[in-house]
Amino acid sequence: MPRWIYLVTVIISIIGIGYGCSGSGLSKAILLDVSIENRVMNPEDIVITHQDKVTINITSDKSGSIHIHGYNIEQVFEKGKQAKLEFQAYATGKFNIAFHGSGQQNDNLGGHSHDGGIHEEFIIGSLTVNPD
Amino acid sequence: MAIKCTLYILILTSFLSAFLVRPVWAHGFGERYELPVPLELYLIGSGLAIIFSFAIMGLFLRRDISISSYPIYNVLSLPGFGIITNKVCMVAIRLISLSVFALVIISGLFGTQEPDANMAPTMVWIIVWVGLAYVSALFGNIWSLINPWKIAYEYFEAICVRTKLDQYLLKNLEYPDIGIWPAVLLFVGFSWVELIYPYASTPMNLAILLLIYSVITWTGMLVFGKDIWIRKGEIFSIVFGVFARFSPTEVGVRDSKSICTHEEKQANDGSLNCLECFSNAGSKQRFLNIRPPSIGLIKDDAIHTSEVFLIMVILSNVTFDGFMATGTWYDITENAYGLIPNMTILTTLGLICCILVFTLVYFTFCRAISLASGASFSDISIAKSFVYSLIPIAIAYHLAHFLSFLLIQGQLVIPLFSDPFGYGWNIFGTADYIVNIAIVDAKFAWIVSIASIVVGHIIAVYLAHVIAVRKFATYSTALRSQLPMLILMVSYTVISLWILAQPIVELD
Repeated sequence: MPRWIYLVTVIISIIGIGYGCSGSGLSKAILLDVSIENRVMNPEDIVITHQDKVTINITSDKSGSIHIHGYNIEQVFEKGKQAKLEFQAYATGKFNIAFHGSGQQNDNLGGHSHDGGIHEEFIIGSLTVNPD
Repeated sequence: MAIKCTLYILILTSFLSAFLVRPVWAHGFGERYELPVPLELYLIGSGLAIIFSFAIMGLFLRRDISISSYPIYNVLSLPGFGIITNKVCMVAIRLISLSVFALVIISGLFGTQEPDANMAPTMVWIIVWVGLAYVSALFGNIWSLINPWKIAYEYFEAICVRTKLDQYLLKNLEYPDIGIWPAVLLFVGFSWVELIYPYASTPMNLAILLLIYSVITWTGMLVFGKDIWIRKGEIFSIVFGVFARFSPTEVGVRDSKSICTHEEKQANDGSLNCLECFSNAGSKQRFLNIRPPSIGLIKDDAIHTSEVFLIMVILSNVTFDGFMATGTWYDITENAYGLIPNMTILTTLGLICCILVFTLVYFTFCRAISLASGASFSDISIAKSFVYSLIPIAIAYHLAHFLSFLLIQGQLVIPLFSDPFGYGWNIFGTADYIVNIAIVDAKFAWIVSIASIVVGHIIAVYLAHVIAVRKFATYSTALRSQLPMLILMVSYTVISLWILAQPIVELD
């Protein structure tokens, strides 16, 4: 038997063991409060687990919308009013969360514009979905 | 004249403005969503790399390693597989490649300038640059088949011959003895555009850069001859060619002496992986072999010093891309920003430092190998012999680093083929395709990354071992020479793993 068979066997079994140690895969319901003040999101990183059913209550000091990259979910909200964002965390990874102002503000805090400057996008935090 | 002036100003301003802003993305184009490899997997990977380094020494210790005969299987001998080299099939592939190339340039110039909605950035940075590196390393040298610059030039040559212009136009100058230095310089430039130039994802700039590169390539081909330039200056042929040495396939021609015309024949077989011979040969003489992977990285022929430097730039390109997204790099730039308040200059310096560090460290270790083996070879001779053995680690890291990026962002081509210019078309009915971000699970990506890096490391150590046994006169010298090499490879592997274990920090 060629010697490299040993190596291949060992590697495949390591991959198998590593992948086999997976979690339960049950989905939990998660409720989170998020506030946006001065284009800073609190908490800055929302950490959840794969398949969680998430409800995020957003309050903000400015009107606008938040957009979760990758998931491509957008939620419009008004200044001072609570808005609700619901989704299931079907994909793992780290996704930027962006704030889109509703147009009036025009200060240069380093945002990059998408559609030729119609509305500006600021990365204000992130969503981390860990594997279970 | 006015158009020319505007074009010059456009190019100049777009390059100069590169030095005025902070880059947003580390890589040429696209957003990354992957999670860092967890600490325990990182430690397991590093541990395995070290254990296997010694296991290989134990398992494969042999004095009589020969690579002139390795198991091969000619796929073209199978019934039906001859169609791969069929003339109609070849012409179709060439025409498709040329059309896609033209489509990328046209959509860059005239399409929407929104990077996600235009075909050019996705096609160049994700499908060709990242994707073809995968294909080259895992399957074979597909670039030599689809290289649009080569195909276009061949059609141009054919027209010249038909119109009898060839006696004026196709007279080549002799290529000076400068190795592949043109490619090294061009590849440094390419790396800068890919990793640092903040507007590399703007379709218009990308199209202009492609046109500039086309002019360089076609001028090179016109002056020195098509095949010489492909081997000395066309960076994609050379870089994908290096990756393809790792692949489990090789093409070539039997009885090459009657066909092979180029002067630099390879030592064992003049026609191996020479597409020039392959296309000149009759269908009976051609072969497409399946071979053990990575065997092509053991080179018997003398290589030019410039090739060593090209490999150093390739290693730096691959590593620096990941390093730029780490918190460590972020801290470095935060501190240096007070000194040099310009991110583009800082990252440019970073890339130059990375290339210098790789080169310096490699040559230091070559010195050590030379000393350990009783100084029977010069440092540069050692450097040339062992440089290709580092490629498997670079390939493994590239595969690991880009796996989820390629599989997720690469899906963008599906809607883009229906609407390449971003005009709202829907040619194939796929324009509304939504990228599936759940296509690779984080855990799966981690395991594949760690496994590919450990396997790449094992192969690298094995290759270095084979090269040492063949290079040094006695077996004990070869063994002694391998200790520095082992330290170098383990460090390189652990650094690659470490980068994968860092959370991605995006400068914004």
